Amino acid sequence: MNAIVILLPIAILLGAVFAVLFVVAVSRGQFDDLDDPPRRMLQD
Amino acid sequence: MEAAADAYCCAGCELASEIIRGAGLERYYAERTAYAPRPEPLAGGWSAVPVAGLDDGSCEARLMVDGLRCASCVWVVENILEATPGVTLAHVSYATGRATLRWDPASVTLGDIAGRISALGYSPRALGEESRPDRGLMLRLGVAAFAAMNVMLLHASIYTGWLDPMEHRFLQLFRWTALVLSTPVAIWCASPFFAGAIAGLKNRVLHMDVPIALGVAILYGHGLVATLLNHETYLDSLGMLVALLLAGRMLEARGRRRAAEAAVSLAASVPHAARRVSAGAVETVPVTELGAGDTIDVGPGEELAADGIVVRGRGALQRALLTGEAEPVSVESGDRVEAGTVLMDGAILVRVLAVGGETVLGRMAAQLQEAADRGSEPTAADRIAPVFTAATLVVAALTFTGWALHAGIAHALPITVAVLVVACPCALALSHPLAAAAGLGASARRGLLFRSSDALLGLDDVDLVALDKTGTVTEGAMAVASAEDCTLRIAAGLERHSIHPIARAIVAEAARRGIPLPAAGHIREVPGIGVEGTVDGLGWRLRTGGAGVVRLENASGDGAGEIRLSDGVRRDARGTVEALRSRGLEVVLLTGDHPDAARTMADAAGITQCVARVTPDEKAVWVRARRDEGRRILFAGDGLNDGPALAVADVGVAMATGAASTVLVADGVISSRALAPLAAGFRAAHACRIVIRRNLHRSLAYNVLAVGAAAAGFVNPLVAAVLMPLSSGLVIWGASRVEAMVRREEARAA
Repeated sequence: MNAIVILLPIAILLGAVFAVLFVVAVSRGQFDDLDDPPRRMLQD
Repeated sequence: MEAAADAYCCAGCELASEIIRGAGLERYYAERTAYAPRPEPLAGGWSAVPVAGLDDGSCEARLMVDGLRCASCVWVVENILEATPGVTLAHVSYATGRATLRWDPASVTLGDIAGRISALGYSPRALGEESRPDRGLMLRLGVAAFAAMNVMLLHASIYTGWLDPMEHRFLQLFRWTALVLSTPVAIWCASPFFAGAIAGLKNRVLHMDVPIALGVAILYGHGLVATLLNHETYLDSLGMLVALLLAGRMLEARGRRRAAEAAVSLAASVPHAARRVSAGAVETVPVTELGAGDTIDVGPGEELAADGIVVRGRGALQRALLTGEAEPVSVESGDRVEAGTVLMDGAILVRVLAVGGETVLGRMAAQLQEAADRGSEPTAADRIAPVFTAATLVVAALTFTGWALHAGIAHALPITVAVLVVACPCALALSHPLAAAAGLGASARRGLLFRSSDALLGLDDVDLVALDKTGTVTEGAMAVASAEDCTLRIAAGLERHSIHPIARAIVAEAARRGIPLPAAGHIREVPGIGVEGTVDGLGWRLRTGGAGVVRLENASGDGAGEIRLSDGVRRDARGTVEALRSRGLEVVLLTGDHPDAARTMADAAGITQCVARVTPDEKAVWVRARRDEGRRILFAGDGLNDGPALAVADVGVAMATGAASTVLVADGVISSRALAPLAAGFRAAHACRIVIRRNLHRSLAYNVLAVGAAAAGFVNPLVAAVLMPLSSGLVIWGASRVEAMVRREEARAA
């Protein structure tokens, strides 16, 4: 059970890394247009 | 949208379009769903916004206002601005986010007004700039979802600890971690709800944000205190609640942004430049430099940039944008011509009488714009919100008093918190936007796009459908009705290079019949009369002979055959009319045509009632008269002259192929060349209405039951964590039924 004390912060930190990546992706505009890119793929 | 039908705003756009076409990328125009983002607003700020000076010395301008969440936001902006000294008028449209402002330049500037709007928490911007997708909402949703899932996992461990008690220090660790993760959710992710609630409370409007903000505040406040005191918390419910609500809000914002973009893209239709003739020289000038008295040169295929009188030349003018009639009329010296019409052949010199807002088109567009800026109704959930909030607070107070008297304050507190927690109207807040988004989507997939869910739901109350004839019930384009093959062959040879709609119809019919086009020589278009040339060594002349008839004559002027053209009834018109009638709707044909022609067309479409020879104004009067009789009326039309009728009808539906400005005033637009989407729209509206009502009932039933259970002391954090997603899930599932219901109805109709 003591492992939890170390594992929990590690798990949360790992999750936070992805959350930060998500924030970066949004602020670079990757989620601005969710309709066009899927169609563009079909045209190529 | 094919760029061929567009007017370019400048030579740069035309060049860019040519490059795109040259690279074989025409499909970009056909398949783009949104316009490419434009650069940031001009550095000049608000001075770049066009401001009109009025006669009484005041100024007028239009701005877009982003961030309007509900009808009460509109109320807030309008009232705060009108209370500002110097502002004489502030009108905000919820549907389009467009604000019309009038002010006295001596006491206030547009920058000040924009500043006030910003201070209220909304974002003003110049009209015509693209709205930016709301990244903040996406970020908040992402962070809330991340935190919610982690907190849920931690709480799952805590709940299993009830069966197999864990060490106190681990419990502490889990609870504190959950609290830390929930803090940004409550403070940052939920901030739009707090902002909305505060704005509402300031203006004494209790809308949906108030009970939501109350719920979030209680969940988090209780979580904070309970963690400090080593009690159970409801933090897992908090994260889930905020994430779901943000997702619902994002769906809503996306639907509204698409509708707004569609309106903006269709707004500009008059060319921005004209060729001015002065002292024999021709120069291209922007329309803004054009004034009354100038003379402009218009060539074949060009659109007129101003109203005026033809001073020289003759040609065939297509007035579709104004009248909705595709058939061109001939014009010559002395005739009045209007901006927005297209010269199909010939060449004319026009003395300008009016430009911009003074033109017939400009005045009509302004009227249509006013009508388009109609407000939006608060949803049923918004109307319930005040009662709901009051009821929750009363029940909570009663619960607290009851339990405090019965078992003491220490026992009453957690039960009261449980009441307030389960009363949080998450499902109620989601019930309308999700079902509305599903209904709008179901309708759009079938070719009928609606500007707002109000317009879609309005469709379900309609009991009378009035259809315009040309372009709505009919194709709106000329087609060959009858012609002999040999006549058609020669005519097609003469007309093969013309862009005139009749010529195109003749060539298309020849191609359909598999007639090879003969080589023609010496082709000469005689503006306003027809075309002449030689085919097979003989001279021919093709002469337009009035209503829908083209005569072929040989060189000596004798008739050699004729081609009859007519505007055919849409293939799906009869089926659509039947489908509408089977829903108990009365269908009427409204047209400016001769009664006999109207009767023929009505019979072909299976319509029993028709009202013929009505002017555009009479159409509107007729629609209004039916409304006064208590009927709920839908009007569908495509010409600019249908605009007034579209505006006064309960639901106005425009054809995307019709006059651009009607699209602005209409509540809905049929995006395909068909009438069938109308029937599909009625099905989607009906399904949407049923689902919204069902969702509302379900969520209210949940709230009543859950609050009852909580007041009785049966609700603990685990029960809340199960009940709340369950109720939201029920509402989400309900919304997903819209599409299935529409399909079932379609299957029954087929």
